Amino acid sequence: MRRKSSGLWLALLVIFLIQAGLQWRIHPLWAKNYAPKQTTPVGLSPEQLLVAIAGFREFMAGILWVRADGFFHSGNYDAVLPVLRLVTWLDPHNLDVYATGAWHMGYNFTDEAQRSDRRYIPLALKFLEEGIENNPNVWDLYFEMGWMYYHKIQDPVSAVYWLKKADEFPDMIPARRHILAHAQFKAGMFNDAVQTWGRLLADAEKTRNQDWESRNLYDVRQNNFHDTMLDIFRRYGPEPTTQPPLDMKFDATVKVVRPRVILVEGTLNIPTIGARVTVILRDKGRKLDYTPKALKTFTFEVDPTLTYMQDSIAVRETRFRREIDMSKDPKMYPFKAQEYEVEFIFDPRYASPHIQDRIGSDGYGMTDARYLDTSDPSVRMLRKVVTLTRDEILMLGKRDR
Amino acid sequence: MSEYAIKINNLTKRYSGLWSQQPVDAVKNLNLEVHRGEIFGFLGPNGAGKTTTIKVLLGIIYPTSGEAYVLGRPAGDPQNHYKISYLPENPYFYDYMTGREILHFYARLFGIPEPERSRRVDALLDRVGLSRAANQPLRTYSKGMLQRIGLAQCLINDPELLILDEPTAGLDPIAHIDIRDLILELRSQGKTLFISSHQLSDVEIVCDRVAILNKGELVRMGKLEDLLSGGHVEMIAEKVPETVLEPIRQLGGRPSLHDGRLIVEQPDDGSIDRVIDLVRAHGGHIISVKPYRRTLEDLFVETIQGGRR
Amino acid sequence: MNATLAIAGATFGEAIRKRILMVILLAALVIILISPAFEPFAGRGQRTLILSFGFGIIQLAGTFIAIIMCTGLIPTEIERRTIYTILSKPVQRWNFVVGKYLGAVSTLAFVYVMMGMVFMIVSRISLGEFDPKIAQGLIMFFFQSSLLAAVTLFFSTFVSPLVNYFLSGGVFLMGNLMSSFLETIQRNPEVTPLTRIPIQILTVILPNFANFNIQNPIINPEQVLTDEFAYLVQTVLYAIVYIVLLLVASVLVFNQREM
Repeated sequence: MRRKSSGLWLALLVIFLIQAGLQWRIHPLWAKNYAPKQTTPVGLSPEQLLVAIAGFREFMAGILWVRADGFFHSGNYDAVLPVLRLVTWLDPHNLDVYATGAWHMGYNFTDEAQRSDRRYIPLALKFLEEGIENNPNVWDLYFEMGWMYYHKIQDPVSAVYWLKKADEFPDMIPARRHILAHAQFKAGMFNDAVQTWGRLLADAEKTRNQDWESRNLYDVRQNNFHDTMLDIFRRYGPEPTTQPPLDMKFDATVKVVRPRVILVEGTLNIPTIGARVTVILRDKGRKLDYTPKALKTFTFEVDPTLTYMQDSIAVRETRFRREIDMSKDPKMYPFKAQEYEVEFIFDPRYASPHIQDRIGSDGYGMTDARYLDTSDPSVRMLRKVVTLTRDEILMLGKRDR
Repeated sequence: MSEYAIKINNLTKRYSGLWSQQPVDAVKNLNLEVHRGEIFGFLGPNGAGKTTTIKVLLGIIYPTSGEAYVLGRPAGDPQNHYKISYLPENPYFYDYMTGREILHFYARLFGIPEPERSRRVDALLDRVGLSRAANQPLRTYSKGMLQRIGLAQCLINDPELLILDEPTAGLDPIAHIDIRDLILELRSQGKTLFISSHQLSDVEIVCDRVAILNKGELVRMGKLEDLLSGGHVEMIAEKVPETVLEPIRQLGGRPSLHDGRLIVEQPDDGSIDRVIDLVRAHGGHIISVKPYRRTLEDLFVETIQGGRR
Repeated sequence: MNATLAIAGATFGEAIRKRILMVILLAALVIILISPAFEPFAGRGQRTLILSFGFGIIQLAGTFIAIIMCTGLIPTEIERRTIYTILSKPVQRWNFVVGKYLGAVSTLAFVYVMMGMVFMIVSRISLGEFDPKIAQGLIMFFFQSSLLAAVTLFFSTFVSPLVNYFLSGGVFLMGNLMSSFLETIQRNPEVTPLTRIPIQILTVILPNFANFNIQNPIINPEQVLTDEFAYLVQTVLYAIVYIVLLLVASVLVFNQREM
């Protein structure tokens, strides 16, 4: 006797409609509260661990990496770092993770005004160094390290050291080799820069007729080679454009306008645009050490008591001025120390070419009565340091300087 | 109340292949009646359709055509299940449970409340001789003990009809006797027993009636005496000369003589008297004369071979 | 009801003695216990690490246990013929199906209580505070696993265990991803209704497992949630309704089933 079950069929239909209605209501709330902010084809929930435990470590690292990316895009930076650690731990040969992770740390942890948290730079360098130790036989991470010094830290001498290591690998992307020559030029190693361009040009010449790209590469290198020769000749040749030295009339002041908000302004005798003055506010005597060896082991911890702000201000019509608000990011600017120094730097190495034409990329053509800094033999810079007390910055006793 | 414990009319169960296989009739046009209070032997080789028939009786599968009634109600009627019991072939029970726990489990399926439940469980454990092993987990039980616990679970509801599928399969001869005694005891209490078997043993000998199934079809059914009768008489004699052989053959017997020892198979039609006279007349010495009934085994083999012809 | 409960009890007793399930549970407990050992890697994201790790392991173990347990629930009973001794008693097939399911859910409850206790103790010790929301997340996972168990039980009434692993696993993955997928599609203005509508229909048909993944805001508590309570109530209700749906469907199939 087969059971008759038309009643159950009806019940089935009714229950189905109820669940569909519920799901219809749940979805909008879910989307608002729980949907991954950065929608990736793979969701962000830990069912992926399933795969990791099944033994696909690298695959898992890849998925975690996607997850880290998601965290990054949703601004959840604190969550990115442990994932980075986990991913490089699962898969220490994932170059992309090291490169992008260091980039996150070096560039992307920023305050309200997009000033990056420079306390993370030593961490980024250490992270890259670990990557290089794990992957000594590929050029990528040497280049990333060089780029970090060249572009972010603006230390072309250290950049040359790392970029030369990358340059030794025959499979390096050709265009990236140019950075070495640029860094050498900025580091004041004019002969080395010319030699590098010459060598690169000779290399490109061998393949210049292969295809459009090779042709283009050759053209670029030829232009650079000529420009470099020309720049050196113009600036330092028989009739140097850099002489006589230009008096920069550099000066700068800092004023606390509201608690944790400073107004910096000053003068620099460059009438055109294209010069920038770097301003650093930090705990007195706490310069950041940008050498990988500065950290013994890799960590995600920055000193939470250290205040370190760095900004770069454009000079227009010989003047510069900016209000810097450090009140909105207490994590980045804790102001725990009693004394602070505000350092103003003009570094000609990173000025525009037309300015360098007048003063030289090494500052050979500039002078200043008060603030010329000649401590580095390869470059003359302008530097002024002002000190502030904690009370002044927090406006506990209202005094200007 | 129906006089039949089981009545099967024209039952056919067809298994159709999932893809392109030929449909197979596991049971074909089966007609069967089991009277109340009898032991019914349901015999046949493996694959004859015995278990299929039982599953139909229990409502676990449904007939393709025909119908089956159990205790007067259609098979599968939930009401039936209070009054019947089933012991599958080589039963497996949750082996982490103890003998006592498994009986409690089955008693709960009947909704038997405490303290009645405990009383019945203890009585049954005693009855199947497992009181001492009652608190051991079933995984420590021997095959014979499992079969006894299986029988005990069959009796938990004091059923009117017991369906036992291969109750002696894989058991040693002593366990066979235990089961046989239990079956006879149950019949004496007025219960109906429906026993399926593919092998023959001293258990089947207790059956009042048997049905023999082969390839899904019923080939023989009847009282055991009727099915087994129609044999012959066997006589053994000594010091018999060769000259008697020819006269015995003329009487329809099948004699064989070795060193003066004669064995005769004589049809059971009274002619044995004349054979005895003949042997004595020739100076032979009669050792034994006994009727020779067919064994159940003979019947079984004969029937199956007949069915295969 | 007595019969249903008896079957549930037997199912539970058997499941917690099943070696593979207990190995999974034990492994999960050990991993949760040692998760603070990964702290050196965590840096400022210690909370993220401990919680996401614990939630992940618990969800994973719950998922595996639900699927492995339920694929065998009915086929094993048929294979070793226990089901015949049960169905020849005054037990309706729905008693059997519901009893089996209740036994499976009790096992899941047991497993979740074990894992949850260890997880909460570990997180209390290593984070220095007890967040009651952790329990909330675990309860949602329990409902997720219970729903998955119902899915697997439903499939087990008509497919073999091996096929069932893939079917249930597939439904679980799809049910976890389709909400995200729908969101992506709804945010993308270039997607035509021809693509969108079938996916919307699919999301209301298939069991949605993503609804129960509420661990993200627990791991990263700075998020602000809208109508959280209403969401939780509706989701639990959804689980229960969908489970009933699957049980009714299972009974319908199982009633026709010949064994």
